[in-house]
Amino acid sequence: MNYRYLLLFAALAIAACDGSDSSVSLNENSTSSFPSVVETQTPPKVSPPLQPNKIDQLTDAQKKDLVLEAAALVRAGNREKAIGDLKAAGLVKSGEKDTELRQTERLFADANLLEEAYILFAPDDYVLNDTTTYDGLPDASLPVAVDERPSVKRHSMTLNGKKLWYTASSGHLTAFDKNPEKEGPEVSVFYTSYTRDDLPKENRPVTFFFNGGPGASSIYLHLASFAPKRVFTDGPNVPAEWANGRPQSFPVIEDKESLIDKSDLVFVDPIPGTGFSQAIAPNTNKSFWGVSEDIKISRDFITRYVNVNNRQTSPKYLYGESYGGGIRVPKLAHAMVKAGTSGFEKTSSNNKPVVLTGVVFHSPAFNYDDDASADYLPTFAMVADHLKKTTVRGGKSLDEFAELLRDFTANTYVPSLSPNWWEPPTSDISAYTGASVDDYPSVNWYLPALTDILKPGYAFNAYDARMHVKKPLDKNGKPTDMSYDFDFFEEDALHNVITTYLPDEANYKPKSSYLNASWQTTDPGVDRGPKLAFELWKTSEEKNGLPDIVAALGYDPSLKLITVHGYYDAVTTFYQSERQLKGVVFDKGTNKTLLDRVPVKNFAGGHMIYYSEEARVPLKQTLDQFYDAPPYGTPASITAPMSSTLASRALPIAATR
Amino acid sequence: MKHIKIPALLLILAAMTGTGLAGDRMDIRKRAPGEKPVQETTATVQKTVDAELRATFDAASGGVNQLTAKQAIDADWGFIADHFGEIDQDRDGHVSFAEVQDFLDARSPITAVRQRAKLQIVQ
Repeated sequence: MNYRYLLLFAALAIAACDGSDSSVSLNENSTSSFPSVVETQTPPKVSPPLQPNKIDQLTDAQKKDLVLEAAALVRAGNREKAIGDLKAAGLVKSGEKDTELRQTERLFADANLLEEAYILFAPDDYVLNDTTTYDGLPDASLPVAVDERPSVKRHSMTLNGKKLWYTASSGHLTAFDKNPEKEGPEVSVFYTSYTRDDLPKENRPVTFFFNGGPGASSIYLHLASFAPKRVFTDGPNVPAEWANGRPQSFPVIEDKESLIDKSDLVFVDPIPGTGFSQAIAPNTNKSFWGVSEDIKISRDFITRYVNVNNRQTSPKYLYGESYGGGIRVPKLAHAMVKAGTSGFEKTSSNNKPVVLTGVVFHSPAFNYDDDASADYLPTFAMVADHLKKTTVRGGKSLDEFAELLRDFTANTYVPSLSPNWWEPPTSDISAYTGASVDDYPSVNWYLPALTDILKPGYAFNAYDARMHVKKPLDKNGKPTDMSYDFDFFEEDALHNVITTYLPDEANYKPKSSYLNASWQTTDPGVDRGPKLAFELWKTSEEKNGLPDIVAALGYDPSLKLITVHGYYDAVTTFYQSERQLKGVVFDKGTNKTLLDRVPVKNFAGGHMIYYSEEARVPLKQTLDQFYDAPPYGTPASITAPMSSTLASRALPIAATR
Repeated sequence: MKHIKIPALLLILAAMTGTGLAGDRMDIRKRAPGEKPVQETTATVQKTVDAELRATFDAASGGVNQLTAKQAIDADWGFIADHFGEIDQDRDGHVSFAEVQDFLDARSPITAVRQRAKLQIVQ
C-alpha cells in the first residue's frame, strides 16, 4: 500500500506530460517534495472545497488526496461525484463523458489504484439471453445482423501474486464489407473477449486468436490456452477408460499461464457455421468458405472490434493455430498492413493508430504444396524416444536431441532417398525410429504404421503422438478399433464445458448449441452428415502463407513474428516449418533467412502445445518475451529522390532460380 | 512383425502423409504417389509478392499508371493513403506503380529486393 502514494505521484506527473487530454500541470521540482508522504498509510484527509481550475494552487499532497478521495467515492458507488470533484480541481479536463472517464481512469490506473479504475471504467454486468437460432449448414443465413451488445461479467483473479480485474464478454460483431461506413453486412461473428478494464486502452495490447482447419471454431484456443480460466486435460496422460469413449468433461481451473497480464484476449469464430457465427442474408454460410473470403471476414471483424471498442491506438497481435497459423494469420497480417488505418473510425486520442504489432504462428502449415515425407522423421523419432525405443539420444536434452535429428534428416536421410518414390531410403533409420528398416521401410510417415510396430495394441493421437491408450478388446480378446476417432478425443468434453462456461463466466446464455467445428465427423460407423466448411472450402487459391509474410514485412518491417511448435505434433511438424522458412534466403552473403526473422521455438507438446502441462510454463515465458520485445528493427527509408522515369525492373534474385 | 513388402496400403497412405483430418485442424493436400512437394524459394516468393502488388495496383488504379490516395482507400489499400506523402516523392498528387514498388522494395527483408530499389533510385 505504501507504494500507492509514490505511484500516485508518478501518475500525476505522467498525466501532466503524456500529451493526453488531462490539463494537469505539475511543478517540475515536485518530485523532491513528495517522499515525505510515501511512508504513511494514514487515510486521506478531506480537503477543503476548491475553486474550479485552481490546480496551480494545489500542493502535490492535495492533488494526491483529491485522487484518493475520488477513488474512495468510486468504491462507494458515486463515480459522478468523483469525476466532478476531479474536474473542479482541474485534474480532469471537461469534455465528452467518455473522455472525462478515460482521464480519470488514467489517473487511477497509473497510480496503481486498479480496482478503482476497474470499478470506474468496466461496463456493468449484463446477462445476454441470445434467443437466435444459429445454423451451421452451407446455405443457412440470418435475415438481419445480430444485435452487437455483448454480455458482460466482471471478474478478478490473482496472477503471479498480483490481483487484477478483467471483464469477460461474449457476443457478436457484424463484419461489414465497408468500414468505417458500416455498409454491406456479411457475417455476425461470434467472439469472447477478456479485457483488463482497469488499464487504459490506448496502449494496452489486444490479441485476436484464431484456430484452424479450416472449419474449426476457436474452442480449442479459447478453453485450453491463455484465457484467465482453462480446462485441465492433463496432457499427455490418457486415462485407460478413454479407450471406451470420449471423455465428457474436463475440470476448469484458473490459468496460471494466462496471457491476460500481457494483452487483452479476443477469441474469434470467423467462419460462419462455427461457434455462434452465421452469414447475413443475402449471403449464406458457404459464401465465405474460402481462403480470401475467410481473410476478409477476419479482417472486417477486427476492424469492427477496433472501432466499437476504441482500440485504434492499441498494439495489436494475431495468434493463429494450424491452418489459422500457416495460412489465415499470414494472409490476414498482409491484408491488415495493406489496408492500413483506412477502416478505422477517427479517435480523440492523441496517440497514433496502430494497425498491427505482432503475429504468432502456432503449429502452422505454411505451405500445403510442400509436405515432404522427410519432415516427419524428427517428430517420429521424438515419439519413438518417448516410448524409449531410440538408441541415439543418450543423455541429450530434448533440444539437443532435436538438433541431432535435424542433422541426421538433412545430411543422411534425405540424401539417401531413392528417386523412385516406392523404394525405401538406403540409410538405416532404425536407431531413430526404433523399428528395423525391414519392418518399417519408411517410404511413408504414417503414424499408426510405426506405432503398431513400437507399441502394438495401442491407439495413438497424431496431434500429440505421446498420447496413447490401450485399445479395447473384442470377444476373442484381440485389440479392436476404438468406437471414435482418438485424434478428436476432446470434442465432447470441450463442447460440454463451453455450454456451461459461457453462461457462468461470460453471462452469455444462448438458445443454440455451440458448433465446435464445421466438418464431417471422422468417427467410424456413424452418419457423416452433409459436407461443411472443411470439405467445401474453395481450393482455387494457394494455401501458402510464406509470400504473405514476406509481403507483410515490406509493408511493415517492424512487425514482431514468431513460430511455436510441439516436438510431438505428427500433423504439422517443427522440422517442416523450419525447412520452409529456411528456404527463403534473405541474404546470400550472411545466409540470413526467413527463419531468422520468424524464429521457431519448440516445446515438449503436440499440436495444441498448451494441452501439455510441462510445455505451458516454457511457452508462456517465450510469449512473455515476445510481447515484451520492442518493434523489430527500424524501417528502411528511401533517402534519394525517386525518378519518375524508372527503368524496367529486372529482379536480381530471379537469376538464381 | 515380419517384413512388409511395401504394402499397397502404406503406399497409398504415403501419398496422404499428415492427412488425418482431425482436431483443430489440418488437412494437408493429398499428393498423388510420386508427386514432388513444391518448395518455395526466395525467387518464387518474391515473384508472388510482385505479381500480387501489380494486380493490386492495376485493380486500384483502373489499369492506368496513376493512383490517388482516394482511389487507394476505395480499393481497400489504405497503406498507400497512410504513406502517400512519402511515396509521392515528386508531389504530383498521384503515385505510379514504380513509386509504390520502390517504396515497398526499400523496406523488404530480402537484400536483393532492397538493392533493386536502390539501383532504381540511383538511376
